[in-house]
Amino acid sequence: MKYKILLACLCLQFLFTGCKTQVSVEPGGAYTEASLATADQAILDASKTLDGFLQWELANSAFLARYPEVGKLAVSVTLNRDKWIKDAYAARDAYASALKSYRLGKGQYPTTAKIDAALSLLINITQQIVAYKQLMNNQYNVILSPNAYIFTALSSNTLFFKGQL
Amino acid sequence: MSDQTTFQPSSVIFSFDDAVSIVSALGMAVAAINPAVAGGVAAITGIASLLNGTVIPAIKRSHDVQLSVLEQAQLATASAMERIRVGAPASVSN
Repeated sequence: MKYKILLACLCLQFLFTGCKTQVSVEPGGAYTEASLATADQAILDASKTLDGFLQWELANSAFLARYPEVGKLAVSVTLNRDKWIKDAYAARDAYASALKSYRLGKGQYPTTAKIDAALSLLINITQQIVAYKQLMNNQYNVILSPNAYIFTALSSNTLFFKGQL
Repeated sequence: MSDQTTFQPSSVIFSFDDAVSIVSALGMAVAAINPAVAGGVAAITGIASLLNGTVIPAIKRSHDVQLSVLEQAQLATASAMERIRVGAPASVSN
């Protein structure tokens, strides 16, 4: 346990210094700006996540009825997901246009406030979804097999989550 | 007891690794657009991964990647279809 805590602290320190992935695009493709390709991929992934969450919530609605916060999130996602995605594309396009103008020597380097806000919202929702899914799998395991839960919680989270999802 | 039988873990649409990947992709998008927040996003993503025992895959994803011409075409096509689905205008610039 002591070693696990030490490892966690070391990992946290590493992560806080930033493990940044550099994305680039091969010349001659559909994209000239890697940041726009990454934004497009992120928006698509977020959309799939929202859709997956709704299907998961529907498939498990009887079990999830005791957790109204999950249902509340599902209602919010149902009502807003297309708008969130549309807003993200609008912010992405505004950024892309401003960036194009800047590359042509017109105007200043674009501000990122709007696209940051749009993507941050998607990150926030995605993290809520991930958190709920983990929580529900924990609850399910406790109900199904308390001993199994204790064993997996003390041994390896990786095995536990991979086994459940 | 009926609740136990109605819960269907096998019906989950995407794996947890996919979910972490999605959070990572979103973080990468913010980082790519705004390098000033790269550290913060990486930390948030990393913590989420660490808490769930998937810190190693998250670190592995820190390798640099280059999107091939084919991957770019697939991404652009998928994005165009998603834009149509939600009623967003076509992309003006890539």
